Amino acid sequence: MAGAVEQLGKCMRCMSVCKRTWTPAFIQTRTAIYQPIYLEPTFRKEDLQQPLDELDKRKYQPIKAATNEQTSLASYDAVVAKFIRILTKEGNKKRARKIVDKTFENIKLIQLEKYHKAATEEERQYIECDPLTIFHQAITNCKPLLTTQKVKRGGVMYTVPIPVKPNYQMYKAMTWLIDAGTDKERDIRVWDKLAYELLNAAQNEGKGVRKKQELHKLCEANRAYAHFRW
Amino acid sequence: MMHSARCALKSAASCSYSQLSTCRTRVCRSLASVASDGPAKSDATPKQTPQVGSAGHERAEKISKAMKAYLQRAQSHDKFMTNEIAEYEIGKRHLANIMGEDPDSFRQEDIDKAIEYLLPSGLFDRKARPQMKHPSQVIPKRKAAEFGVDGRPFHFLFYTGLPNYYQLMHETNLKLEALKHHEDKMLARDVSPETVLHLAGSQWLDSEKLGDMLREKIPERDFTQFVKLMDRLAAHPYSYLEKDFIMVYRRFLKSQAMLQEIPPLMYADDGRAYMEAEGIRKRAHAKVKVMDKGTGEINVNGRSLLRSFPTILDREQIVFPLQFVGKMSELDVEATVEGGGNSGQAGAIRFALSSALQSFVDRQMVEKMRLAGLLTQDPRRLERQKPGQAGARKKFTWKKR
Repeated sequence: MAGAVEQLGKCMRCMSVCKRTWTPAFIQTRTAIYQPIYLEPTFRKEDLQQPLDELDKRKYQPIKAATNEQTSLASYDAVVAKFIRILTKEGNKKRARKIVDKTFENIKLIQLEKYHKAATEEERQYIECDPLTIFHQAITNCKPLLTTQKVKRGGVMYTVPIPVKPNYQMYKAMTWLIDAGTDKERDIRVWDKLAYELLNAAQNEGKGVRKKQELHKLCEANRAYAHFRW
Repeated sequence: MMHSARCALKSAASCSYSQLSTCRTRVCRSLASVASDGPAKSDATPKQTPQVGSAGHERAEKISKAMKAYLQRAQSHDKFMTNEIAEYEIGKRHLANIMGEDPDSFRQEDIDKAIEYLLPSGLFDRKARPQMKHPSQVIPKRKAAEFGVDGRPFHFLFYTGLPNYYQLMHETNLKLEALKHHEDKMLARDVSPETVLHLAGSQWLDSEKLGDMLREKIPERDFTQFVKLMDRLAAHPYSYLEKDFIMVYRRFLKSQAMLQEIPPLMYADDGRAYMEAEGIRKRAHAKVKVMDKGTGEINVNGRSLLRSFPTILDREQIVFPLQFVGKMSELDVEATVEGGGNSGQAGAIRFALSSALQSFVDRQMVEKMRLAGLLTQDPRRLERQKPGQAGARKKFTWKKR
């Protein structure tokens, strides 16, 4: 009996050892101007400090051109770039960039005001004046750990909690923040509301964080169906 | 005799097939070339030769209809080929006489030169221009008979239409199964794989090359299946045991670092080094002149950078290559752009500037620029509007009733 269990354990290990390369079942060809051999650019200067390994693919394959937002300049931030892309409407990225810039400006002004109004040095220590840090904090606070998926078992639809992949986490956090920022009165500008929401989310408050908590609650309520995932 | 506009097909029948080591004899039999020798020579195996003095004597003498038809076709093809070759030889001599050269020592290169001189063509595609080649190069070679005198195919996968391809897939799968079995055994003994098979620097053969190798025209769908299966084999932890088999179907890639030629710096009358380059992005065309011993001044169409590009995104793009090589305050840039919008113009200048900067920096930095995607021209264009649609993707509003 013990031998059989051991065998089974080895078989399970074998399954984990064998890594298979994932290939998509359906590849959209009409958008792919680049041949599949082209690789994504490594456009940050700091990532190219060390010379490439002999077995590095990038050494032998052509590289795609860097897009117009990918630069090695200090102003570049991958998360902010993603946020701008999600915020873009009607292909007007310029407008989205303007909104984000103004939002950061607002955050800076609000925080600086707080900083100067603070009475003691101790209070000042706890006031974060960097809008970028606040933005990152807001995003991490809004990231959900679980989400729900509908699964049909025995003719009944169940809401099944499933773990979230990092990309989806980021996307979800950003959309919630943007929804919170755009849900406003007519006479309020987006950058004012968005700055307010980001500041709130950085403090673990506000609409974006509440959305996350609601989702977590839903997952908690449906934890009994978690095994339907398989 | 002029085979104009006839493209010289690759002679599939003549390439070697030694790479498929297993079952080689079986495959070779079905693939024996018949371009020069007749079908009677190709089926030299005991199965097909008439068995004298045995029970099979009567059966062997009956030649199937398919075989008869094949023999007839082969005969007519041979006749046709001898005629064509004779015509070619006469034509060659005539051409030599026209050109005033010795007909006996007139080679193919001389023919090509003569044709180019006598019939100059502005057609873009080389294959579409007039040419005169040996018939064996122009007329596709015929496949050998794949069936015996009794009309039965040699290959067990003949009726798949692509016997060699399916045999390869079959073999590969067997190898994969064997590797899995081996892995199980090793796990039972608690042994881990010794090495890893690194495939960086090589790529699977493309469908055309594979087709040449197998002497079959492989459809795209079948080719993707082949790549998937091979990827699975290569990703197996014990794939190094099948290295020889895998490497037959991979081609080596050249290191990209040395592929680009970098023009040397030019010098102005006052001894100042400079470099010029051109760039395209979307609909914009840019010409850039980069000058050494400068102060970091950038002018676009005679105006300052700030005035010509009011958005930060565009200015960042133009500055990116200069910042990347760390020569922002050492070089002066003068650019002229036309066509396109702001973003396209900025992209065109960025590409032109990066290619000009190659001459100012060392090889390592050029390689870094390539990795950063600065030396690749962005090939993306506006997607065209489609008939019956509002735009490239957008559809007209439509209601069923």
